[in-house]
Formats: sequence, structure tokens, C-alpha cells
Amino acid sequence: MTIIYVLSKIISIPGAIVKGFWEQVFCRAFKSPVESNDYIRMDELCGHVGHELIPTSARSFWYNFLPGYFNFGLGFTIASGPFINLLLLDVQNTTVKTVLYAILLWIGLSLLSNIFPLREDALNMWEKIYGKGNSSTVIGKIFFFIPALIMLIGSFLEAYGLTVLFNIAMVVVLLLI
Amino acid sequence: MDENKKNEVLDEETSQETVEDEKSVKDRANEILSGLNKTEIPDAVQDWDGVLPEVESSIELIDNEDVHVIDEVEEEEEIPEEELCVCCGKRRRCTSIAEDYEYCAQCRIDMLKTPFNTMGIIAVVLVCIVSIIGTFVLAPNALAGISTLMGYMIEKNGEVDAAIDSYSETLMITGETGLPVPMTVVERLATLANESYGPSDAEERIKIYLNSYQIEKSKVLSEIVKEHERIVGTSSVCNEAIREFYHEDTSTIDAEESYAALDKVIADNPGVYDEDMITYYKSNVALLDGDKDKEIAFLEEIRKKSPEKYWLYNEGNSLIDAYMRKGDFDKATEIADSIIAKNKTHQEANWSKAQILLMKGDKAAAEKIADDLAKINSARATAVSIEALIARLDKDYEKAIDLCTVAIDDDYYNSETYHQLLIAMVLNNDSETAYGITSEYYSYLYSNPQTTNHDYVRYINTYALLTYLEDEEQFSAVKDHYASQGAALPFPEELEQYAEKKITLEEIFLKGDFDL
Repeated sequence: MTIIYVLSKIISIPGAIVKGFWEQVFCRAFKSPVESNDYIRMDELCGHVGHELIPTSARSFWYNFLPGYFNFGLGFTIASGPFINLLLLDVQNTTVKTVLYAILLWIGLSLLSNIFPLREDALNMWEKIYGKGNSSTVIGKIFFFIPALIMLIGSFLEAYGLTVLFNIAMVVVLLLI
Repeated sequence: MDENKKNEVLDEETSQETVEDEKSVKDRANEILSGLNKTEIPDAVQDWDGVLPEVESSIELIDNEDVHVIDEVEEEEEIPEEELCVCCGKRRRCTSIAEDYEYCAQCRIDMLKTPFNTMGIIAVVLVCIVSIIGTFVLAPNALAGISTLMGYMIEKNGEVDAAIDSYSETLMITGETGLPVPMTVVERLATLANESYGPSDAEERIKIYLNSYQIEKSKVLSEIVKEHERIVGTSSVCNEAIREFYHEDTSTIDAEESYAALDKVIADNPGVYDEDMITYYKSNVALLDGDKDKEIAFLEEIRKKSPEKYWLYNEGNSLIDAYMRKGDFDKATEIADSIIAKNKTHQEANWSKAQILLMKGDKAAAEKIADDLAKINSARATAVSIEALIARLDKDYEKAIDLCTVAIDDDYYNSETYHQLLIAMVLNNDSETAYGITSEYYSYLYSNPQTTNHDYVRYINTYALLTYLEDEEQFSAVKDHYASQGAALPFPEELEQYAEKKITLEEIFLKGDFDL
């Protein structure tokens, strides 16, 4: 399974590196010691940073949410134009433009394939918000529920390389229809 | 062990001395501070300046001593391997953080400042630059993309006319922003136009955006263009075949000879010409011959053979109108429904259905059609026309006029909106204004490529009434025009009766089919 995971990260390497970078930025912001700043490695930490688990529920939520959010914002901005141009409108571009759009689309989709947190981080966040002895308020629990659930499910999907597969499948389907 | 003990004793002595030094410094500082309280500030500052270097050197001494002590202890003390920091391998793990914590306190402090990966910094900078480029790529595409997505969704919902509008908007945006023509959108637009209005309409739209070379690249588009050419070829052959049997002076036709000539076209050129189009020509012959049953039979023949070609068998609402003229409202409704199932926003079919419902007295059902259509932007014109008809039947002519005027001013109208406006004005005793609007009405019909023969018939009938009411001289000219068209354009029977004072305007427009 690790091979599939690492492969999915290599396919989406720009997104994996950038996601690792954002995670390190937020580790610093939330004062969580970083064990390794090697974003691309051949294990389950590929595309993430190894760090101490974040102790409070709010910090843990934002740590899981913000790096993915940044990747989503950048990925959406980069991928939307080429997506509309190449797949939706099927514009008859010049070869150079088509290649440029294809590269932009790959970078954008790679960022969008790396928006979920590491499974351990997501589980830690869930535990801190909803687990035994949690310190979250009821409003916090309600407010965080949907994004926390999405991040938890997404982290499991990403662990099996499904986010990358989903993006590839989407492009293939749109190219065929 | 002795050495260790010695060290400990030494450390204790050193730390005691340091503490004593520190105490003396603190005492002197307190003395100075109490001096400050006695308002001898300048002296106190002078005294403090003298003490400060002493304090700093003492603190330095303490720090160095501490580090020295820790290092010496760690170096000398034997720490079991499982308790060693996994990072430095020298110091004891800091178990105060967690029992199984693997790092020492110092390494933990260092890890808080782990430098960013150079590759990561470069990647983020590049991605930010690319996202700026992406924004420029996105900007011109975004609106076109949104209207295309809208088109796809609307099309899936069966709102063909609305989808055609969305795709046309996309192509307008790409044209304005200088983007290359999006082929997929042209293909969707042409396919829908072909289904709704036939290949000739589709071909006309395609040629606005693409040249012959570009059309050839698309299989879908080249097939539509070929189909258009086949239809044009068929029309030309049919016209040629029946020309000799049409008598222009009397506007009559030798029907049987014409049918035979058209059959011969099929027999002589099997598979070359469009047989449905030839049958449509037969229905036109029947119309010119005044044989309504045969006209319906030919149109029904096309409907049974090619049910998807509603643009042909109901061209200008011909089949629905034929059944309505015949008084077969169930059949007319059935055909309207079958067309609405294919194109939810079909103008003629929805209008006819609402008209039949109102003739049957089902005002609520007609209102529902209007309400449903009003929610769809491209069908608002039909909705307004139905609402105006309902208002007219309620004798609220002012409301009918307002509805149509607002729709025309706000640009969501069609030929039926003008038609309803003129009738409401006539009933509101303002035929003079209505007559003044007829030129505007005609200009709209003339400039709109989707205007059908049926639209012209409605226009000419209303125009005939207005000329009768307002312009006697023009009325006789109109009558001559009717006469020249023969059975294809019969003079409205109700207008004749009105001229003979046998019926009133209210009886024409508020009863029967609510029209001439």
C-alpha cells in the first residue's frame, strides 16, 4: 500500500512538496517541533512533515485545515483556466498553448490531489475535538464537524492514492466525452 | 565514582559562591532603588551604571557554569541506550513531555526551528508565480466556462432553447475576448439547433463561428452541414417538380399531378433526397389545395416515420394548428406534449397547450405553464404572452398591455408578445396606438431569423383588422394580398363577420380560439 501511496505522491509531486511546505509553516506557527523537513520520502510521510502531534483541538483543526486550504486555493486558480480551455470548451489552441495548458493543468491537479492531512494528524484532530476528555465547546464541535469529517475521510482516501486516481479519472472522462 | 563526588562538591561550592555574588548584587541594586525613592535620581543612575557590568558578568558566569555542569554530568553519566535522544544520541530523552518521547529537551528546541526545505521554498515560489499566470489564463475563460456549464446543466434539464441561448452566449464571450472558437460548444449548439429548428438553422449558426476548413475537422458539424445541403437540394428539386402545376394567377395548384411529380422524385433518385422533406412538400400542396385532412395526413406521416423531426412536421406550428383548426384539441395537446417532452421551453408547443387549456376553461393549468416558463430566462417571453392572454380573458386589458409593454421594454419578448399587445389595445379601444406599433412588430418579424410562416399569418391577420379599424385604403390593399395567396392564406372568416357587424370584437377575442 505504501508503494501506491508514494507513487501517487510522485505523480502529484508539485502538490506534495508544496503541501509539505505549508505543513511546516503551520508547525512553526503552532509551535510543533518538526522531526524532518524532507517532503518527498519513500514512506507514509511522503508529502507531509514528521512532527509532534498538536495538543489542543483548535490548533489541531487549523493545522489540518489550513495547509490543504492553501493548496486548494492555489490548485483551483491554476487548474481552472486550463480545465475550462482544454476539457470544457475544447478550444482549438496552438500546440505550444496546449502544452502550456496541459502543464498548468497537471500542476493545478497535483495541488488539488494534496489537500488532505496525514491520517495520523486527522485522527489526532478527531480525538482532540470529539474524543474522550476533549476540551472543545459544543459550538466548536458543531462548527468543526463537517470540515473535520471531510478531512478525516479525505486523509484515508489519500492514504490509498485515491485522490490522485480521482483526478486522473476525471480528466480521462472529460477527454472522452 | 570518587571523581564524580568531587565534581559534585565542587559544583556545590561554585554554585554557593555564585548565589552569594548574586545576593550581593541584588542588595546593592535594592539600595540604589531605595535611593531612587528618596528622589536622588542622578546619583542613583550613576551608581547603577557602576553596578550594571558587574551584574552582566555575574549572569554570564552563572550561565557558563550551568552549561558546563550539564555537559560534564551528561558526559560522565552513563545513560542507558533506550533513554538516549534519538536525534543527538547524547542526552537523556525529555520524558516530561511524554513517557515515550524520543528526543531530549535541546533537540526539541532545535526542532522548533527546523529550517525550511530549499526545494519546498522554490516550489512554493514557482507555484505562486504559476498561479498568477493561471489567473490570467482563467480570467478570459471563466465567464465562457460558466455559461457553458450552465448550458450543460440546462440541456440536461430538457430546456433546449435555454441551452441554445447559453451556448450562444459562450461563443459571444469567446469572440469578444479573442479566444479561439470552442469546438465542443459549437457542436452542442449546432446539435440542439438541428434537433429543434432543423439543419438549415444549425448550419446558419455554425457558419457564424467557423469556416469550411474548421467545420470539416468536426464529424458532428460536417454531418449537419451535409444534412442541410441535402435538405436544400431536396427543396430545390421539389420546387422544380411542382412548378408547372402551380397557377400563379389564381394561386391554385393541380394537387394530384403535384403528388405524382413528388413521388417520381423519390422513385427516380432512391436515397438521394430527404423523403421526409418531400412529404412535407406534399403537405404544402394539400394546404394550397385547401385539403386540410390531407395536409394533416402528410404531416402525421413524417411524425410517425421521424418523430424527432418536430422542426419539420410542426414547422410554424403547422400540425398543432391544423388539429386546432379542425377542432381536435386532444390530438393537438398530444402533439404539443410530445414536443415539450423533447424541448421543455418550445415556444409554439407551450403557447398552443396553454391556449387549448384556456379554451377548455382550465385557467389554473394555463397559469401553471406560465409560472413554470417564467422561471426559465429564455421562456419568459412565452410566459408573458400566456399571462397577457389570461389577463385579456379576465377583461383586464390594462394589465395585458402593461405585461407586454414591460416585456418589450425589458427585452424578453417574442412575436406573440406583440400580437397579444395589439389585441389588448384593440379591446381597450386604442386601435390607433396599436396600428402605430404594427411597423415595429413587422420589423421584429423581419429581423428575427426564427420567424415562421405561422408568425407572419398571425401578423397579417392582426394587421388586416387594424387597417379595417384605422386605415380603409390600406385595408383594401391587404384584402388584395389575401386574394393573391389563395388557399394558403385565407381571409379571416371572423373579420369578415365583424365587418358585416355580425359579431363583436369581444366575441372574436374572448371566445373560441381567442384570435382571428
